[in-house]
Amino acid sequence: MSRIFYSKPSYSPVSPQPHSRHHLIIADASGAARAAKLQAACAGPNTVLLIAPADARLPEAELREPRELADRLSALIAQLPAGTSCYLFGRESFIWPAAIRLQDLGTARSQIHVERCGPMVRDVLCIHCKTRMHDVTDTLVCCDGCDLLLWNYDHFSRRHGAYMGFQVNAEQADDTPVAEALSS
Amino acid sequence: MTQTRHRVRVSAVARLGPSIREIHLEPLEGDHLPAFSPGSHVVMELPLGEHVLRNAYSLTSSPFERSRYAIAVRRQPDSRGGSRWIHDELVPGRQLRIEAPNNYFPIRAPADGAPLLLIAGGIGITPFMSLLRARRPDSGPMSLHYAFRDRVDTAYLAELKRLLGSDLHTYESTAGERLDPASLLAAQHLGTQVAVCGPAAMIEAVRAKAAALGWPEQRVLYERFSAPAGGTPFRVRLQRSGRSIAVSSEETLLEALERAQVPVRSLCRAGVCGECRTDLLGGEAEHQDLFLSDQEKTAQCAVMPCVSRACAGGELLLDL
Ligand code: FES
Repeated sequence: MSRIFYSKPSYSPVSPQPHSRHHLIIADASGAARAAKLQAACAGPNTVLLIAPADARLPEAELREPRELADRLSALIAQLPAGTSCYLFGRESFIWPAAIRLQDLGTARSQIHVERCGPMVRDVLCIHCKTRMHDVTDTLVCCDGCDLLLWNYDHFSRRHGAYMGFQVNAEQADDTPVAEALSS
Repeated sequence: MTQTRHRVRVSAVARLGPSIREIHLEPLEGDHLPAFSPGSHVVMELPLGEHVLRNAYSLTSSPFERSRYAIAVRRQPDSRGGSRWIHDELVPGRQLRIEAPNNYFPIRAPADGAPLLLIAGGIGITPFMSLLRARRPDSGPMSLHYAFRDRVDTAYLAELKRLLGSDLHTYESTAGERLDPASLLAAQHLGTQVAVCGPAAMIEAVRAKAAALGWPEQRVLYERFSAPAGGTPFRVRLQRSGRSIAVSSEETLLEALERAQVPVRSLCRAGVCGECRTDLLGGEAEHQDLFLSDQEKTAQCAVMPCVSRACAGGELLLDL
């Protein structure tokens, strides 16, 4: 299949931003290690939000359930100073929707730094029946909702934190490529 | 001159203070003027004697009001006659030409519910008026910090008090009150958008403090309320036509070129939009614009004729 459209994010390691008056660090379980490292490197005041069970590397983190994140962010935005830098660590399905939420609340894109952590997995959204598959590891996936074989396409929706999955053998049912492990 | 012109009639001249007038303009044809967004300005043609001065003024009326525009003008003692003409000659009934509005200072909150912090110095209040006059109960949090010399000669104080209540903070310098950008900015929360309009020194202070406090650049919007007009006279040579034109101390380079019928496109006439950018082939310019990058300014490769002049005693060679 030829690739006609890429919207796959690329990443480089984030570091503490100078001049920041506060550092807001947000991580899921796979981002906890990086979050702890960044916190250690931050000079000024900081807040750590961990959307995961307690982690010994982040003893002062505030623990939250995933469903609480959006509300917690709006409350935080109203308290933190304007010169805050935000850092997001974790799976793509976690960091991007959180980044979009921060932007919806008025945080500038340049204040938000994301870094993908954890295993090479993707959430895939079936464009045919809208079912979401979590932690997909291969270039092909069978849709849990409509049973179609989906191509795990490099088209990423930041708002959904998921890649789009298209039926792979729509024209010819016997023409099916071999599934490969995701490499990036 | 890429803008459509509109013919208007002065419908009222109101006194906002000893040296400030609000001018109301209504359309000569039809009953609507073009729509605009808060922070917009219009360029007005002022027939001063034998030449026409084209000055930009912020619209102070609400964008919801389409049957007239309002602008406010302070008498500037050292002006090139534009504000003097408006104060002394302009009376209701007078017909004028304006260009359709443009906006280089689009004031709005970055997100629904994000706070908007407005900082105005003196007559720099004008671009905020269109926003504040259109304010609705659900417009989101906004506060205005307004610094001026003395309250007697300050525009819109009573109206602002009515519009904003406790969200209005005033600083009267003759009473020893000072607006301190550092403490004001330090007290703002994440997501806040600041918009500042006033003298260059005020804008510089706000921008520098914001940067020091870690604010992202796009959360600091600014507009200089008056472009530097006039200065030391100099000459400009035009490479393509071989002409040489004198720019007097009373006019801008753009005005001198227009007077000599050299076509140069322009919109904001304040060094902001980039429309008048012209390649500089020789000479050193004193830039004063907010459009060119620092590298371009140092390289002396282009000028914005609406605000730039030659460095003292110099001559400019333009690609015209
Ligand atoms: S006319 Fe806008 S920069 Fe000169």
